[in-house]
Amino acid sequence: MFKLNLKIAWRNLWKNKAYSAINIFGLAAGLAGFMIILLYINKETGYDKWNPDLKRTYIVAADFTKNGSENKGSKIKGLLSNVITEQISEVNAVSIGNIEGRKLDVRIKKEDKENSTQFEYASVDSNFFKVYPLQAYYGKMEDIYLDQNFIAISYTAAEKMFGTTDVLNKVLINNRGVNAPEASLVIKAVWDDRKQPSSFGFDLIFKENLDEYGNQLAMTPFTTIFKLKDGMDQEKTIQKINDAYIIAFAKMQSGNSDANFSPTKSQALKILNEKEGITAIKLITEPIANLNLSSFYTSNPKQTTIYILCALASFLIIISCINYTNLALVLAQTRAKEVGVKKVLGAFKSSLIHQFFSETGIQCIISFLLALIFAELILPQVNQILSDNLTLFGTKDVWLILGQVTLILIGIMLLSGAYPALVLAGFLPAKVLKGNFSSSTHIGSLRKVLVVFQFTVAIALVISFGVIYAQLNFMKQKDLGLKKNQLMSVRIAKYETRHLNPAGFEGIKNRLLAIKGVEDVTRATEQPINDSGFSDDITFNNTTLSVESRFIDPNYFETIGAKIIQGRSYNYNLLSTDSVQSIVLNETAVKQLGLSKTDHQISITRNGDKVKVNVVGIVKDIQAYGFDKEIMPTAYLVNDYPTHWRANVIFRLSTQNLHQTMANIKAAWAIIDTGAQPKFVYADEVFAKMNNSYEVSEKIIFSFGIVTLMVSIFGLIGFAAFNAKMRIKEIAVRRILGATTTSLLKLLNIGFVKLVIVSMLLADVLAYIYMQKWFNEFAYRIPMPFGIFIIVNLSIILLTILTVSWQSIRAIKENPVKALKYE
Amino acid sequence: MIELKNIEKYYANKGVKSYILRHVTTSIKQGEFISIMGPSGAGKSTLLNILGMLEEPTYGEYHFMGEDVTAMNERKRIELYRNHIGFVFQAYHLIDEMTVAENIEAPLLYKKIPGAERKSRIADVLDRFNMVAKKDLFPNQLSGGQQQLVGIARALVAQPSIILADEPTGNLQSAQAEQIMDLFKKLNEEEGITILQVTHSEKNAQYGNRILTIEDGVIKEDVSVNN
Repeated sequence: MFKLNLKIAWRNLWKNKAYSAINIFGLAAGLAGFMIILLYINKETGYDKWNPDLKRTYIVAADFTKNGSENKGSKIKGLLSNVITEQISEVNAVSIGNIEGRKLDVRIKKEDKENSTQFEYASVDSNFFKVYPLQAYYGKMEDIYLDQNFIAISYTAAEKMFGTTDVLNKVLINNRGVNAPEASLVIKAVWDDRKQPSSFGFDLIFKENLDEYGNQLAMTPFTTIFKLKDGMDQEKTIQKINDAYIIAFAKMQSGNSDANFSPTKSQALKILNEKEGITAIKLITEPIANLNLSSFYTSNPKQTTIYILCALASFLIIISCINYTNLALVLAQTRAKEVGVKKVLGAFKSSLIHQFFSETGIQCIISFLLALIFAELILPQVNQILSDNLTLFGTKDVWLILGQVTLILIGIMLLSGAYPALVLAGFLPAKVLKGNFSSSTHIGSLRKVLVVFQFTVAIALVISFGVIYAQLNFMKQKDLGLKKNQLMSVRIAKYETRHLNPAGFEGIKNRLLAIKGVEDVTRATEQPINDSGFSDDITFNNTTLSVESRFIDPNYFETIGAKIIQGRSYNYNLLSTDSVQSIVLNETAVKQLGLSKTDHQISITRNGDKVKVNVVGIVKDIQAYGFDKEIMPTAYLVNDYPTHWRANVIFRLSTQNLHQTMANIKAAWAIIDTGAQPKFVYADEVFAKMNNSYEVSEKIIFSFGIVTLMVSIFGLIGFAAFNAKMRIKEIAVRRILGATTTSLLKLLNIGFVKLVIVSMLLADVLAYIYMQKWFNEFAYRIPMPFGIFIIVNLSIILLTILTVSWQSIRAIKENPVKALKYE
Repeated sequence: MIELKNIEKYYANKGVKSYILRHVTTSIKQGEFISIMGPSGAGKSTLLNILGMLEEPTYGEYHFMGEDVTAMNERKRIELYRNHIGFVFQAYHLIDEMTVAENIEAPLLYKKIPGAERKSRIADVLDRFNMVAKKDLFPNQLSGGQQQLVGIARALVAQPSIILADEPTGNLQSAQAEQIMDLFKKLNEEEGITILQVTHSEKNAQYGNRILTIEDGVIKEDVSVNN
């Protein structure tokens, strides 16, 4: 029986090749997308799960407002660790160190200076493994505490460096840069970061020697992690730590060294306000379990990305299921006789349901296999978009994924197979077998809802893509205030070369300018596209404004291609006066200060003193950071060379022979900055990187939009074809009564077009709301591009009409006699 | 074998009853070959459907081999199909996706007959109908008469006690029709299978031994035929 059903299922699939292909490919596309998203989600939610005490492990830092500006960093003074050890008995262990964001260049061979690799490292105190129990794969983790130069290395890093993982007692040479001696690091432990993935990104672990800090330890900021004892009230303990820290901090700052002095919390806050200008302070305590997905310190938490991806993947799966259900219902007409006959031959309803489910099953399994292939094929591209390295096969996750997908598959079978199976098995033999059976020719209301849902999602995605594309295009086209192409910068490593004044730099500058293809050379404290990190207060007519200060060489504006819109730029000849009493402001600063023209005198606070300076020039706003931030009021200054190092040398290059020019610059640089490993940074690349996350979401929305639209159109093709086939008799009668081809096409189209128009209206509203929200991220945005809405809507209608007409034309052209003859 | 008492079938539409069958009372004995005749729309097919338990009467009693069909649940009714009733249709209604042999096998599968016996029964039936060579063909590769032969073979293979045939020769040319009617007669006479056919043709009706004539839902005539 089962074998026969299988055979019939196969013959049916083959007979309706086109429909089957639409079903199977649509579902496979949906599943493949789903699998990839599942891989991503598994990876992102899989960090630190190996830690049995994960739920009790926290990372803590302070968030405080001092002199009116908020300071939030992921580190906190060493004082906290003392406070916890001495006062909080609920805590099992506390560990401090530098765990996040520190990088180190290492290499294997001493001579081979070119070939170093950069890793993130952590330097940790002796409690670290008690709080964060990484297990050694080779060696012993605690061995790193025996010597300052002993390290532990991650499995993947070991493999990357040595090609093997049993690397105990092997040596890595640490290159600490030009100004520090090199060290030989001996590997004493290897931990398996594949089995123990960590939300901290480090690959190397050192000992942090706390003794070195002496009595400065309490004031030095560290990454601080702690583990609660089992069964402690988490909220209460966290509150307790918070209060204890604030009191201890106030006590330390109060200057009152009396051992019995013990302020209350409100007294403590008062002391901090008076002594330190701190108006608000609280500890940010986060479970390590949440760190990867939604940390207080990440502006763009992965959680949102995961929600969006989940939503998209579910849409895709649901739409594929809808397609399946719809086409199966449409095909049900041809299966009616089979059902009738089988029932008369003595089949139970249940055995028929069984049969149709197994047909769905076959298709789902074929789709599943195809989806595996699709997923494997598109993974490299996905990895490129997400800059990740997800793999489907060969990881420990493969069974997890297959298990999850199998569950989904069963869900899909039930979801897409249930309704058609019930409808089919419910046919009444007396009706079906009477003669020419055809169920009602108009589209059932459930099917209408399904089609509308599909198209709504597809159209909304396509519109969103269009809007994102327009915004990104705007960002690419926008006048940045500087010419970003052929603008390159490199950081000086050698200390002696960093703090030269323009006269002292002249020699190096001339050497660089002598290289063919170098058009101009200047210096600044930072790269042209980056925060400067400095700020000053300037005052004009009692308005005080905090401005970003950029310390530059006099020819900075000319080199980067900025535009002076009023007054003049700095000048080497006037440097002696300019450095003392001149200032160049950007447009925003001028506007916010209420200046009308140059030559105004304003005062700037320099080392606590107010100094009067002349505004000599106004420069057009320069987009020095992403479009999500407003351009800051900025002052450009040419003073203070010894303390504000112009460590970044900026080149304007000619477009010709760029390759040769760069080779020459590299050769020259090796002599100028001996021993350094220069990183040449191109402004256009920095800029492109800044927009990277938006480009990623653009690509994701685009891929999903296209796949969804494709699946929906596939569904429409099948639907329209069948609709025409079912109405063939009606068409024949109308033709005999004198209907023209156009009027028949109109008749067949109208139902579908109506559905698509409803979807369109819904999609427009959804896309508008979503995009309006998306635009909130930007300080610089285009107005909502309604043109895109109109274009997408019109194209979709056109596409619908074309699809339906293409499928209907055959039925219309058929000889009416043929259609009417057989009864 | 079959007892019908006061069978009525009507559709109520806006309070108006439109009758299809009225006061149909008759009995059918084992081994009879009955033809139901009458003009189009008289209710012949509905009567056959009721007899085949494909439709339920609105009112009346129907006993099949002593059991009350109207009170039967679906499972029981399906058991009856499997064991006692074979259907033959005007449009043959073979399953297009199955070969001749598979079509014939289908009812045996539902009767849960073991594989070896299925094979021998199918071989037997194919042999009797001279269709061994065609067993792997699909229905659309056969002529109408051959398809109807397969239809009858399919009805017979389950060894039913009654065959219900709705215009079995309606789509066939006269030579083929004659062949089919001869087959029915032979089955009736040699194997004692009860046969009930609906037909328009006076000539075909003569093959049986009793003719029921229905007009406007009422049995007008019930005559025996002597051949």
